[in-house]
Amino acid sequence: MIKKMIMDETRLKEVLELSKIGLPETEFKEVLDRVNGVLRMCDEMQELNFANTRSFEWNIKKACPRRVDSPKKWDKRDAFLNQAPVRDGDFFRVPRIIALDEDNELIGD
Amino acid sequence: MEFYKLSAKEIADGVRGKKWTAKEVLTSFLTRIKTCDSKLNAVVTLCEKNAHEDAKKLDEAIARGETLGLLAGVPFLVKDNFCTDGIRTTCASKMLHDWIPSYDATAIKNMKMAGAILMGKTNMDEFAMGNTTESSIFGPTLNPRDLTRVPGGSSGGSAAAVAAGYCPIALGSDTGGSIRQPAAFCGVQGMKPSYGQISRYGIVGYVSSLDQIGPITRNINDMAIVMDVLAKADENDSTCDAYDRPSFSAAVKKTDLKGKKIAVLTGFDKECVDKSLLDAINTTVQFCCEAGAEIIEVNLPTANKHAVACYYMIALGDASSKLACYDGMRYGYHEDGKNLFEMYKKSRNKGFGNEVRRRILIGTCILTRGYYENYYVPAVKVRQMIADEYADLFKTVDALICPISPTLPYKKGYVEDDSATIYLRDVFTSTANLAGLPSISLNVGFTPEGLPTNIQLLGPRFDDENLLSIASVIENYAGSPSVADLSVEGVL
Repeated sequence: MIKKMIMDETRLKEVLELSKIGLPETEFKEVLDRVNGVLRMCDEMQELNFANTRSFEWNIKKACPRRVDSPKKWDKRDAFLNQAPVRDGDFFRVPRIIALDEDNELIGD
Repeated sequence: MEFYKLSAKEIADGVRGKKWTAKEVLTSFLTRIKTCDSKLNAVVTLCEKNAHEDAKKLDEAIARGETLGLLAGVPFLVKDNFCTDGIRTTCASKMLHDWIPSYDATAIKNMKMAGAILMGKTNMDEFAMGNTTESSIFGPTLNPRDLTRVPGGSSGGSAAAVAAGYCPIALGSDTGGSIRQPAAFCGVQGMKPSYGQISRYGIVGYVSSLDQIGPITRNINDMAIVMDVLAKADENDSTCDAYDRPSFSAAVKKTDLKGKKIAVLTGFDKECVDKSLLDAINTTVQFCCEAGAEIIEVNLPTANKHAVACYYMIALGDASSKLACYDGMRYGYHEDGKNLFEMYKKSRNKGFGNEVRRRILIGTCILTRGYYENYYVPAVKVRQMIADEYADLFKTVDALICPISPTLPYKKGYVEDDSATIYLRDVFTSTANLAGLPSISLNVGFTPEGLPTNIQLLGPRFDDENLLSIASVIENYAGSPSVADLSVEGVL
């Protein structure tokens, strides 16, 4: 049984943080209308009785053979590294995951 | 020689028989693209140098008397979400605007091994999220049958390219109708094969459990040849089944439907479907009867009523998870920030367009506590109910006929009031993805205004050859679509 839910502004702010997406407050109403429109569409699934239905999974006719897990020569290392958003020599450059802000508080905790 | 009017088979036969060279064919198609595409905007990247090198190698192989593949010298285009070695793959997004993969997708490798020549990449909705090809960073693609209308999406560039005679074959991907709906809108043939039929290694996916790739062509015979080339096991894609495939080309030789039982879908609101598309179904049913098929009507209540909701719960939830890797650090467009999280936000905000961000937001919401239990988990169960409904149907019938889209191609820039209404456009196509079924979008004619009319055929999973066979017989009656007359539209 589906419990009808809607998304409100508080929840939207949480979701924006989780999805690492920013949104100006002026667009909140439009996005909430759209999200709740989709949720309302899904509320109709309530009428189905799926208590005894298993979750979906694929059947296969013949499993694909797995490739041998062994190192192979590859001459495109440099081309690959060039695709790094920020390259530093032979490495991808990344920011600190744990850092301190101006007040010596942990960021990202 | 008007190569653009020929089928892939005719081109390959001519190359093998030395009636013309691969270079002549390629040059002719490239000229057509360069002449017409400033208006249509179906192609986002041309790889002329590589294509000329491949054509030269092929012509040299012919001169040495080597045996050539099924698609010898046939130029083709692919949607810009297929990885292509050394050629940018953007997904029509700023997020990947300069990303150059260092390997070919398995489908590209198989096409090249069969002798086909990659000419370039086609326009699409950003990250395959949309059904109009208007959300691309490269701007919208126009429908070659009517420039005031959209080509459909998300593989709109591929469908428009085939309709415009840029190539006899283009490849697309289909998560909820993204091959079949644009094929229908552009008046060509498109196929979403069974889930597990073709390797998806090297495709920038959107929803792994729904995505499939497939061909867009102007006739079913070419489609069957492409299926022979693409449908094989791949050690790089564990979801690609390893069963022994039949010959798809051999399956399209039949001329009748004797002994076949074909169902026609009922139970949906016919008021919501354009009359010319309902007429197309009635005409097709007449063809099938004349060809000896038995016709019955069926209602699939769960699929009819709940497929779109179920589809969007699964698609958006999975998409938000899948697109998490585009954070400006592991992949994609990068903006500096004063810490990691600001950098993520800035990169994703500027890298993704509106529709993609909206879908990620809804998807993230669906996967959060409370919503996950109340929406996502039930959707996965409803998906099984829909798959069971189809499995029961296909115990007694060979194929199902229903519409592709409720409407003819929309006018450019047409916007529905809300997302739910827009998403309902996928009502007839999303079920094949949910249940993993093969499905073909078949052009069966045009309205007096010149807009394409079409039907959708669905069959049991891994019975793709039977579906192609039925489509081929119907095409014999309806005729295969010709190249769009671009001079009428002022493109030429």
